[in-house]
Amino acid sequence: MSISRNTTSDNRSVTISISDRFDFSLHQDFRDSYRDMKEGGTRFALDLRNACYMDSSALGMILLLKDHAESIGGELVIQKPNEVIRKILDIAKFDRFVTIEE
Amino acid sequence: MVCMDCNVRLNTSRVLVVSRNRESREWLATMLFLSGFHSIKVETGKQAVEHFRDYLPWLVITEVFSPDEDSISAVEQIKHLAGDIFVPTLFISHTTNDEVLQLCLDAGGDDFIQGPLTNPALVKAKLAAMQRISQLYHEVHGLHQLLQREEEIAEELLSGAIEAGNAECEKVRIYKRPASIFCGDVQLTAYRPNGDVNVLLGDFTGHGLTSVIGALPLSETFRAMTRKGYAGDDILHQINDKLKALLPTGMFLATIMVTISQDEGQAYVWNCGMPSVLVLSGSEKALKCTVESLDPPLGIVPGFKTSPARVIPLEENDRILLISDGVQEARNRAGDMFGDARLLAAAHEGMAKNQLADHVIAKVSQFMGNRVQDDDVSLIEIPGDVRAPLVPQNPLSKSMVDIDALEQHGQGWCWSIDLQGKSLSRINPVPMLLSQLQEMEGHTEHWQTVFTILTELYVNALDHGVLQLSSDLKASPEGFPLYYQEREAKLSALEQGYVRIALDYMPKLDGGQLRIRVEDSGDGFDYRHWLATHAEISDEQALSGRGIRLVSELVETLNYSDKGATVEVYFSW
Repeated sequence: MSISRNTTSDNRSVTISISDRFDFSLHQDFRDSYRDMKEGGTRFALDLRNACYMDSSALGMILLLKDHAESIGGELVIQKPNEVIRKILDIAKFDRFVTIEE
Repeated sequence: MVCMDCNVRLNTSRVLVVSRNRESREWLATMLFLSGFHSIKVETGKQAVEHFRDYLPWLVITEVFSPDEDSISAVEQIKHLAGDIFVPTLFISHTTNDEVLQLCLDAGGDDFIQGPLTNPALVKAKLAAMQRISQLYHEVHGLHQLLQREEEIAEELLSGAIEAGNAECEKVRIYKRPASIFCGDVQLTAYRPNGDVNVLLGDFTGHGLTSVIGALPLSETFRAMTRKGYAGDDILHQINDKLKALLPTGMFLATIMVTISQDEGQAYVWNCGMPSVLVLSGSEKALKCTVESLDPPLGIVPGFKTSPARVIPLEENDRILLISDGVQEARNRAGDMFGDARLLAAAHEGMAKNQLADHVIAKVSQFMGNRVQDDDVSLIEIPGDVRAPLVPQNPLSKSMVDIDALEQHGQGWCWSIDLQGKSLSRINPVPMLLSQLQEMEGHTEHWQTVFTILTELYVNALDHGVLQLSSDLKASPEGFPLYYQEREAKLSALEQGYVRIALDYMPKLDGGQLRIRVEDSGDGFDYRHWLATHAEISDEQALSGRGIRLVSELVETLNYSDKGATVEVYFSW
């Protein structure tokens, strides 16, 4: 499974980790990984340290997650993208709407 | 042996029974009859194939005794004949020999019943199972065909609407290689009324049917606004707002817009989320500069405004290369990506051969080999000398204004616009004036000239009058970017000042006359000195002052007044 999720005991913070390729094939699993997290103010961290590649549909999936986080008054941060993924995020100027932590 | 047409319908009440043993055939026929089927009984494999072709049964039940039984090869032939249509085959096997069973499976057999046949319930159960699988298969097959057909029709409609509307601009080389029927990449070209060429390369999220929902509004907005003369950033802002309203979250458009202006000898480039644009020098056959993405893709941020365009001085044999990410991300069999370095090397080689796009494409295809393509690959090569075809003009009569004629007809009109302060940075009046002309007087080829005149006069009034920008900055190619940076900064900080434009139209017996008056709040300039020193010099290399020289060539009379802050021209046709 290339998506895994860790939540803190109070359900207020969740880390979604992606490994290998982050692309359209993960669409459903990715959605399922956050849809049940509805606690107001939840902080979503998308951990990409083990992801090696990302395509433009993954950018779209990130926007969906961001929408979900904001709809419950929470926030989204992207963590540790590798160089290839960082370049894709940079080209799309995603740092303008999402916090990216190195 | 030719496969059957995949639209052939099998007969759902007929079953082909193949056995050398008469008793077996009859026993099976009875079982089938009790289950509501009609049997076609044959003895040999050869007969089986012939009867299958003639009667099109939905199921084949065949006995197999030994490997040299021709019933196995008959099943193979029937499966081949059926092609994409699923015909379940049931072997009745009298042996438990693994090798024989394997041969049956290899031939395409779907299930076995161990002979001798004694248990009617088992046969009935197998029949029901085969029927279920067969129905399921036909349902999926039908849906798949429907989907494919709909995609093909939609693809035809869309390419018709999207690409057929492109300007017939053979010099711009457009190449695309879609990953599926529907290409998420869109390539558009259109002419502005002043002869500028707009080129757009867009890449919608993903590919396939869903990725082209936005292609229609995109192409319509691009074309309509380009035709009306809007600037590239205005068009991008409008496309952004349309897509934001239309597309679901998670779908967006990465895009590059390029405007090539022959009159100015430069290109304007906006890159919103696409790979870097390569600008290659024709004289040095080398990379001149790259234009990287400065903005996010369109359709994400409501009311988004682009960064100012990168302005690039262009020579006629320079080349601009736009690519979608499918180029760098094309993979070879080992899974490596084509990447920036290979792209740059291919571009250099291509320039040296004077076959930029073709060479890069050849290199990408060679790299991919026969690996299945992951993403749409597209590429546009724009030569530095591209421009809209010139509309033939009637030679301008140099006669002075015919006052009598104006008064006689009394069918003219006057229309004016007064832009103040901040609205100057927000509104471009030229397309509005032009659509006003078109609405009131219909379409004529002369509006292209009027557009050029209006644009030059308005830009001069705004840049040099209201914003007080000095043309000296434009004295060198390096100064151009500076000039535009300063213009952008001053424009966004603008609080006061005005530009007034008035059009006076007067029909003539065989044409018409337009008086254009442009007035600005600036201090004017020493137009007498300027006219005396510049008007006669036709210095093609000068980077500034081209606008007013161009206008004076297009109009009958050009007069400055109010210390140079008001200009009035007459244009007749």
